[in-house]
Amino acid sequence: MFEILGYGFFQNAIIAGLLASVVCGVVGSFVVVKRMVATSGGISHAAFGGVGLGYFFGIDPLLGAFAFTMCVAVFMWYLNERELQNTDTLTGAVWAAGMAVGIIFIALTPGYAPDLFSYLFGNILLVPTGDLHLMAALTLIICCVVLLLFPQLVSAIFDTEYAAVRGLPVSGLILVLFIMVAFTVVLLISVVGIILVIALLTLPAATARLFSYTLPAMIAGAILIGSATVLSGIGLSYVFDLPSGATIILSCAVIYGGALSWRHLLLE
Amino acid sequence: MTSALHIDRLTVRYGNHVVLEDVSWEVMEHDFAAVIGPNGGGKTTLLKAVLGLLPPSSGSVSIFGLPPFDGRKLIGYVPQFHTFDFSFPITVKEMILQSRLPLIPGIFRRYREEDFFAMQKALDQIGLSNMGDAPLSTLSGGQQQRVIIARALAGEPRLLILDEPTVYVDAPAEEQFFSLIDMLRDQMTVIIVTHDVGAISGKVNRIACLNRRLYTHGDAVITDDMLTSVYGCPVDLIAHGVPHRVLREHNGEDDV
Repeated sequence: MFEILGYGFFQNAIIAGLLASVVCGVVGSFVVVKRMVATSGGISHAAFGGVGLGYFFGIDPLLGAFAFTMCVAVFMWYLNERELQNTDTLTGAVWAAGMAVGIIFIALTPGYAPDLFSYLFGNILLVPTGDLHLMAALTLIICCVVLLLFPQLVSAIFDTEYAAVRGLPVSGLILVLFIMVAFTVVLLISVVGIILVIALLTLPAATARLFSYTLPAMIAGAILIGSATVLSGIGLSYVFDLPSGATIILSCAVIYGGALSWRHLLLE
Repeated sequence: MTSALHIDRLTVRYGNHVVLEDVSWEVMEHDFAAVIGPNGGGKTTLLKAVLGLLPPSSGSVSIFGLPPFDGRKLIGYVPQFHTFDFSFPITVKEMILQSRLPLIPGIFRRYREEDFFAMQKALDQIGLSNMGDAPLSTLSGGQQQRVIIARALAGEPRLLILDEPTVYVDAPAEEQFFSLIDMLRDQMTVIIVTHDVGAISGKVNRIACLNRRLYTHGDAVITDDMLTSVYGCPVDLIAHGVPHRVLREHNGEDDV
């Protein structure tokens, strides 16, 4: 069974999975504590618009997704800054409109309909080495940014008004966070697919949250849990011939459910 | 005597609604001042204007002679208790240290030795010296309240502004709170904003009543007339003996 590890595509899958776990641990933790799960869902689903545009213009759909998702993230940041009453409706609109744009542009692309399944549901076993380079670069950038700006990011998320009163560049810091979400979404597309990005982004972090009292501990826990679920998901999908993205997410959900129950029992 | 806070004919409008009208007030250094008034009277708006979060429609605010944008680094701000998410995974130490960030030069701010020193000093001042590593969620309400104050103190402010600091605090803790504030007066100016007239300590030396307009007395005595014009109706108060009495003694006439 373990001879599979000798194959390049499987090694790529493991690397992609681990890169995804690191990024989910870091960015997912911020998303969960700042309660911007719905906003991130909006950004992640809207990414499909970029996939469609990429196909239409004949470039790598993942690059198309990258550019489009960045724009959507900046737009969502702008809405967040305006502090509107109906952000949930707007998020829903962006979510759906993004997907619709993707579907329309794919339909407009002449020729044979491309394999959308991989972008919507992921196929970690088919990650080309080029995409892997992009993923590695995004992971490195995210880790550096978070390390350098950590105290300021936490300050801006924990008490935005106070940080603003103290004169910290709060708007800029929150924009950095939104852009990191965009990077993460793109990174996760090949691992679990657009539909399930939000699950991998939030479930390991939410699980770690149950047992963490500080944010660095939560991030470390989320990375570990993410790695465990991604690797076990890949392994199980190989052994039982199941879709890898879905298997990973099911592992995440089972672990989260288990953690919630355990904590509930502990507190009884 | 230096002026700590000077508000000059401040007016703030939200659309057509005038929230603050022609408000003028001066607080001197080392004062212990209080702004009282009913909810909806504009206390929050006044605070936001002083903190530089809201631009005035007309008039001005200056902090130690500086405009709000520059003066706010001299302010220690203690927001209302209910605005916090105490379940956030953060320790007491980390929360207090965050106040030091704007004092650190550069874009990638890392804490320095003097920041840890100021943080510990603030913890000592509020009497929680050994609780630095405790997660915020494990503290009692009264302790969390004190940590919010410590966060403001860590910035080494010259002007401490507290918004409704005694709302979730019981009577003995309130006593403790006011002695702490009285102790801090030597080092800084203190302004509290509250709707709870009964909570004001006898140690307050300057009072203003706010309900869109500001009514003030030079000394720290609230008259019935002031209360009536601020609250809009005759106000019954129970004030129990020194040091909490701030009402002028009545001559035995029946009050409405």
